[in-house]
Amino acid sequence: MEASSEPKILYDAAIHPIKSGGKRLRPLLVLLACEAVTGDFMKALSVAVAIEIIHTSSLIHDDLIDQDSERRGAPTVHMKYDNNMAILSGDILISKAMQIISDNSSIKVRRAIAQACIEMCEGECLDVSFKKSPETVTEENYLKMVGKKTGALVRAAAECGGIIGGGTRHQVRSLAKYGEFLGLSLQLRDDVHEILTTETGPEASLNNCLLGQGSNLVLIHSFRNSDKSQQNLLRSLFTSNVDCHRLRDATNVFENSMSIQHVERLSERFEKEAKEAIIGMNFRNQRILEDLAGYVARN
Amino acid sequence: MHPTKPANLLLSSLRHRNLLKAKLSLVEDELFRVLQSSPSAQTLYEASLHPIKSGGKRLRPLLSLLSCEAVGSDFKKALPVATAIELIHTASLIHDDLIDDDVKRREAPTVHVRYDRDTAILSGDLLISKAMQIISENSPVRVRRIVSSTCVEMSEGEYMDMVFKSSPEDATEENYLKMARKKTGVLVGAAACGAIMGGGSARAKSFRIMKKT
Repeated sequence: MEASSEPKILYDAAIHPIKSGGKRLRPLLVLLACEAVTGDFMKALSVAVAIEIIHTSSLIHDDLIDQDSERRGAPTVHMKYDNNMAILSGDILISKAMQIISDNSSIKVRRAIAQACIEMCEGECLDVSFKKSPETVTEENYLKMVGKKTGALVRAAAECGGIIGGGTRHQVRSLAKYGEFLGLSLQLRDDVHEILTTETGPEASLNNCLLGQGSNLVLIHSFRNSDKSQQNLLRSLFTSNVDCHRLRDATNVFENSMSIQHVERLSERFEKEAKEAIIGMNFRNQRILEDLAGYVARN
Repeated sequence: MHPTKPANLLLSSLRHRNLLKAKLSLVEDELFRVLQSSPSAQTLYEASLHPIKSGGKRLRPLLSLLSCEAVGSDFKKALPVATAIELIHTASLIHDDLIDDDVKRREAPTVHVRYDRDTAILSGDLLISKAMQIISENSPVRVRRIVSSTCVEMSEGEYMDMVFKSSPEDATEENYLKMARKKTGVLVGAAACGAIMGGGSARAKSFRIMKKT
């Protein structure tokens, strides 16, 4: 992603969300999973970069699809530039990632990453359809969607790190499972976050936040566990602009249905399952991997 | 089988068209197999297949197969790469049509018109990912390198094209040709990859240079 690449503005747009920050959880996981089986992480560096690039590409396209205007405290690519730049910068990022893994990776790594990319598209497509009719979504289907949209790449990150480090099949499988649960835990934590920051955010953006986001398990759970009048209120949130008073009423609905607590508990359950996936594996950085799961579920 | 009439115009103007048709029908089978509907994302797969079903010359896969044959090998060896290259081409058509807001392609409504913008974005992404999966499985590093750098160049080329369209007075012939080469770079990749799959080495390189100039 050298700054000298031409056309410059296209590469500027592509690198914009990367410059704005982000947790870098996926590349970290590639490196940690590699370290877990060999003690050395340097040889996983290029795949770690490729996976973060793929993640960035999906963020740019998803933000455009969901019409989100901010990401990581900065304007999204389609806001800072325009829709077409968002499409092309996402495309060029995925092509760059393909270039990196074409050069340096074993067939198992390439296979895992390509599979994850396919699942991410399927997952985002499901997310879009859920958003159109959130009242028909079950928790089970929602979690399946998350497994594709978020879980697939986080899983691939851990799996690839293990493969690159030369881990045994048993080790790689354990790391992949760990990644999969970590991804679920992460997404549910994000769902809660979205609702909480929406509640405290400036009132003008409150409504946009709720309308703009993809589907969210807090809303879905609340809908399925509320009475008729509360459901009507939630439905109006999904579909149209509502004033701030009604948004405050909505937060009461979430409280009545204990939805935030429910999703938090679920996130913690997946954290536990992530830890259990690596239990007794004696990875070189066992403790760090366990702590990372805790961090993801709680921050 | 499937309701496609591939390569009709191109083939009817070529000699040996029955032979070529038979070869391309294997590519059609592959395209349909790869994009077999997934129950979890049916619309997405339908939308991805939509421009393929509407026809198209299949020039790129044909070029891959013929280049493979040209270096003395069985064209079937180039089948995966031919399929991947047509998938990439289709992805670029879907996204380019969306960017240019073209409403028709191959006599049928474009994907963002027939479905919607979101589906057009995601089906393009899916097609690129499927292509990546195919070349990940079946191709040597040289082919993977050519295909992926072709994808990069196509995005760069489409951007240049977008700029030219908004301010044609700034475009020079030199820049226009530069853009055209990048945008249709997939042809370059198709020829070279087919030859490499057929075991041609130095000769494959000459294919690539030939198509560039």
